[in-house]
Amino acid sequence: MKAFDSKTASSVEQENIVLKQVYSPLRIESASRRYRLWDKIVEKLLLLAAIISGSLVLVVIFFVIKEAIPIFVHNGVRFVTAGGWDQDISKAWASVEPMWRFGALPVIVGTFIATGGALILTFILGIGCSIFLAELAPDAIRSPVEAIIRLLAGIPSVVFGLIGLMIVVPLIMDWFISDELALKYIKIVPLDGQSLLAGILVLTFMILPFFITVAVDALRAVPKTYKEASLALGVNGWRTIVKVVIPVATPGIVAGIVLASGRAVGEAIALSMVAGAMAFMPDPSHGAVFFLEPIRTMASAIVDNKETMGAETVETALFAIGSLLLLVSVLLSLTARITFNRFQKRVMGMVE
Amino acid sequence: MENKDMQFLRNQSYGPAPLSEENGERAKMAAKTNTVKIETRNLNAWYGPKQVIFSVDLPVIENEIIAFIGPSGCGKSTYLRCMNRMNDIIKSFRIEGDITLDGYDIYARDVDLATLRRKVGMVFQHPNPFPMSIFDNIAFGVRESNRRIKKAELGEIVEESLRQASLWNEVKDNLNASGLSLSGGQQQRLCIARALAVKPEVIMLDEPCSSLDPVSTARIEELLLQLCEEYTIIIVTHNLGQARRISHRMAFFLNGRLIEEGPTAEMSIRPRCRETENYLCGRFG
Amino acid sequence: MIDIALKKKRNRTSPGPFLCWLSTAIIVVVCAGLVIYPLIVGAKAINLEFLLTDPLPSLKEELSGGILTPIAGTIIIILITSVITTPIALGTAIYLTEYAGRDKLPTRLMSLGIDVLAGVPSAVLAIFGLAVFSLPQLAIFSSKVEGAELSFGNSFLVGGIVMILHIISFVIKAMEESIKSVPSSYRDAAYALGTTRWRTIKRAVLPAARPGIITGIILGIGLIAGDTAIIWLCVGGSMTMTGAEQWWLPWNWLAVIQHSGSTLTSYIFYSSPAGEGNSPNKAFGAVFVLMVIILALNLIVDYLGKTKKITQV
Repeated sequence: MKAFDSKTASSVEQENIVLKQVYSPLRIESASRRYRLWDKIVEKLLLLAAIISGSLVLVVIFFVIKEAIPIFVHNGVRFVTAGGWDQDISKAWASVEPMWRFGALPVIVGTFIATGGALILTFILGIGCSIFLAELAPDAIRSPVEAIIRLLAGIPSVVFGLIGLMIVVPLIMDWFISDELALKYIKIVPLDGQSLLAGILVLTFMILPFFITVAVDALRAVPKTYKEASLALGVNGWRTIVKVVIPVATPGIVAGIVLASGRAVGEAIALSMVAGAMAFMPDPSHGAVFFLEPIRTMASAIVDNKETMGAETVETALFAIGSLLLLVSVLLSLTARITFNRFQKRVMGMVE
Repeated sequence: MENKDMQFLRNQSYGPAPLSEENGERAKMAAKTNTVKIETRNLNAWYGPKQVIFSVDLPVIENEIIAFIGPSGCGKSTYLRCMNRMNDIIKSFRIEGDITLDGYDIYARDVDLATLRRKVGMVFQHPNPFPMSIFDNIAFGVRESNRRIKKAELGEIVEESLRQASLWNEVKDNLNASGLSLSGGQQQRLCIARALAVKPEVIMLDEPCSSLDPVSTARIEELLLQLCEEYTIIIVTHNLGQARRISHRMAFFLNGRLIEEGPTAEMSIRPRCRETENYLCGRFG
Repeated sequence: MIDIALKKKRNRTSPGPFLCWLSTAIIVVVCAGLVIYPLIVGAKAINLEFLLTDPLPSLKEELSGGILTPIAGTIIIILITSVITTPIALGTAIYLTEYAGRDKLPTRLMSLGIDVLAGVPSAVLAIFGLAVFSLPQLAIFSSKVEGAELSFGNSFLVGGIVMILHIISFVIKAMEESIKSVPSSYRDAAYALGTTRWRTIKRAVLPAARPGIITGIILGIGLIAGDTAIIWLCVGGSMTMTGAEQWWLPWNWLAVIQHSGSTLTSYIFYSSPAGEGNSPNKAFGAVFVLMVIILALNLIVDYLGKTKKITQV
């Protein structure tokens, strides 16, 4: 203590100045009050950004449902159970009086069968590819294939639509629709290649990358010690994959399907281009021709009916479709989140 | 629960077990019959360019418990995995030399890997029961080797394996419970039962008790002593006390080389090599 | 022990692995075709004149002009959306990873909101945009419709703003990932020197996360360039700029974005047989340009991914 007392006030000050110049963190101490205020401001700004981001979806939901209410008021449950979408739209567009009757069943059914078909095809092709990428692929092949899948995910939907239109639709026309067939069905519906089949094919390749990415992650997340234990028991590699790895990875694979279906349900542009020019409900009693009939989905209906949005009732009907889509996509998002969380817990719990 | 465990531990005999009459006798008997079960001759192994096992000649005798000891990373586990060809999975792994099981070269072209791995079973360091029921865990290997097996026969095999692994009485009431719901020691015994179910002849254990508490460890050691009457047991261990307690012979590895091997009792008291002595005395580890 | 020998049991090799190889091959071939075919067909239509002329209304393909305005339109939308999205997304990502309590309810709700937004189809966002921007109060974003209590609702501004909703969730997620992956030793070292939280983030964490953040922005740009539904519904279906005549002059730019035009995606949609147009070859030409842009963005992202790994040794 005596040593300090012997220093004069001015020499202590001089020391402090030197210290502040040399050690910048200490320099902060003296300006700390200013920094702390700035810090608080920044924190509030960041919080604001986060709140905005988090509540955007609420704004969307609110608006869309609000605009859609008149339709549900006028139609009730019949909106989703009654058919005649195209006719309703043309009537509403042509008439001077507002026409409120709309039956959205064709587009709802269209969405289901297109998405369902695409999911089945996606699962078949995708699970094979995922197992390949996670387990079977030699390193030299794995990286390029993964890069190609990533590329597939980035291709815009309009490109899928264009190629679908220029290649797939004519192919379907050539291979499956003979002149007699077209004539036979001409009274029911024109068959011109724009069809459920084209829609399913195009949709499959659009959603494959999303499924594969999630499924591969799920397969890779399976702890290696299970594979080792199985191999040490004399079980061969493929049986190990089928009996041990896949069962453990199943919730993650399911999450992949849910993610892919969310993407499929929302696809509008490509389906508008390849799946058909009318909201027709394919008839299963037509046998295989079922797949050759045109369809329209909820999302592609929004795009297709854009020109008629001038009529107030049509616009409201499209919002009603939009709110149904919103409901489906929100449910799918929540399901995906829950499934993925369960999968993570399962894998984490095991690694202990 | 705790009192019984403390009593159990207290009743364990002190000192190297092979000094006990029975084990010494058995060691002598095995040495007499001298049936070699697994043997390696001039075994060398590489991970890519790096050599990890240098010229190891080591016979393992039938129905003995042999302990592989040595500091971390000296190749004991790698050597173990050569014997059931688990290293085949690793792409950069290369091997030279002979490994024979009952005189048959296990790397021969016509060897069926599945049968080999069933005959030479493996238990891992961290218990890894499948995320299935206890019954399915044990039945898994059996079902895969015999797709047409009947449920009744399967049930018998499961029960017998669980009895052999001293786990039957603890789980018999609920075989459908998940394998993961058991305690660590029970899970490890479940893994042993799982290996036993496919009727092995050799059981290899890679530091099986390293993640277990002393009571579970003692139980498993007791189990191994019982099992060696029917099976040949190779155990890799870091725990010199464990090696002394249960093994008939020890093999000391250092930096990929086999430094010394011999009957446990002799090696513990009078090791021949300086490195062995240093390791056993704890001068490095 | 004779049975371990002579057992190459007709290894009932199951067809499983082969099917996996097959499905992978199918996917790779289709993808290669999807990329290569338009590039080949489109390349034929590409010449300087094509790139620098405005589209002309014509049913005859040879007379239908080029894709200058669509290219400009794409760039405009990208700029509008990215400029607004980047700060908001970055702020959100920083807040959620650095400031927010991980398991507290508000944080989980915000995360949930972002996740759910990610799942909303762009067609729904598009009509939402129309609903909102048709409100007369928001006429500044598009233009006033005469004789009605409405705004026109279609413009670059509207499209750009609605596009934000489409991409912000992905950008936030990408940025979050990269900030989360900054090793905590960076932060600890900075705190140990006695700095405040924001300074730590600004000086230590963000620079380390920079490649990932840029990746997030570029991913967003890729999504913007590729979307059609929002453009078609919120910017409109006209091929040329409906705003000022000479749209390339900077002082006209405000007018330009308040009016409508086209982007590469809406041009492709329009010119294809599905739209009004009759020029599939030109459509492929536009696809060519679009794919070049997207491939370039992909390459940048890959390159950034590699540099990031090197610096994290």
